[in-house]
Amino acid sequence: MTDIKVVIPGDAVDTHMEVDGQEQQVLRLGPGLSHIGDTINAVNAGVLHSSSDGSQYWVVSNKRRYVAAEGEPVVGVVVARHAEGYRVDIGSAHDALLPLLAFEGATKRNKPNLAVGTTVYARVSVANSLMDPEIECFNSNTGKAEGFGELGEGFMFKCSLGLARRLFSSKAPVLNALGSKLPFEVAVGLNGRVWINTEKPETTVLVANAIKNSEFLDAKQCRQMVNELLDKH
Amino acid sequence: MSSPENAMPDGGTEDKGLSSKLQSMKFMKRSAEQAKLEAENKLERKIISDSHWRATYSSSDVPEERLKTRVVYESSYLKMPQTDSSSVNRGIGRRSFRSFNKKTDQVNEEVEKTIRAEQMSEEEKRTEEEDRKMAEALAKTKASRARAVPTSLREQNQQHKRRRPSGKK
Repeated sequence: MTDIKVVIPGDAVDTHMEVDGQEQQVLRLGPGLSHIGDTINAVNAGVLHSSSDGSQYWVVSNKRRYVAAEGEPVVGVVVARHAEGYRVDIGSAHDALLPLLAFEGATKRNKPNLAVGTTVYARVSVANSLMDPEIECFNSNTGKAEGFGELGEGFMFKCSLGLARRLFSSKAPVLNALGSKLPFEVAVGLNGRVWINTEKPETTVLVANAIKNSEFLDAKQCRQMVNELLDKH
Repeated sequence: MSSPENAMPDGGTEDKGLSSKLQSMKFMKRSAEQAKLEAENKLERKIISDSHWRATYSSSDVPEERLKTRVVYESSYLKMPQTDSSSVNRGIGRRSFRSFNKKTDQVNEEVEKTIRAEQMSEEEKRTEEEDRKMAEALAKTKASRARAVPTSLREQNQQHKRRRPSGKK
């Protein structure tokens, strides 16, 4: 029976780092922790997690305000077009830059033409506190789109960051329950935005409501809720 | 009568412009000595380097102990190791259900294939290394048992040559 450790901002966290030998030990702090002075303190309120060997610690919290982090897939809306790229609103403090060449098969002569207001699914490539975040619509290692790019017609709504993370996993109960009965497409952004596309508007409303309702439900309750919604439909 | 030249046997060889009598005067000697002192001080100053300055601590705390743990920040939940409650890593952001979007299905299949191929190649590498290590260990034990037999081709060739009659080429 493992203890669940709940921390609030300001709590000191004991990381059990023994000073042994001459080697410098590396302690990895994930989101929600900060090394202040001599101690490690929690900055967010949530549940403290650690890796099995005790070298990584992080706090799982639920917020609605997104802070860009490198490597995360996000759903954004094009706000403006510049010479070097697009300005995309991803919900962070500053709009992200999407370079014109950050698409699959983009060259100087063959550049994409996105209108202002288009929804895009992209991956954060550069994110730090000093610069505006940058996103890319392809996998820069393979050069292929792999699902990123322009999202056509559909409906985008916002949710909390914790729910977005749970929807992102392949075992998300609400998505699997809906997907077994309804045909639809979904793109989950870890910035708290979800885009869905279905055949009819009624189905879109149903799917959006089901996803929003599943915030505090466990797997069994999710399936029950989805069945009830489909029965009333 | 002793001439001034007898007193100074040099005869003013260094400074052709000034005579030895002038140089022996006090005001000339003063500036020369000052120049010499300055040169010596310069040399002394150069020897004092950064290693000359060391901080002394009143307490017995040696601050080097604090450097034992280095903190690295990772700002994304995706990079955290998976625990049972949060399996964020194994995720595909864009999914289609009941073949609503065939292109998305294709893309997801390809991505899964590459991930599986990577996992397979990693496992293969691991088994290969283990096999290689076993082979090396076995070879060592065999070699230690049979050391008299020449193993290299060169040695075999030499032995062969020795056996042949010397007349033949």
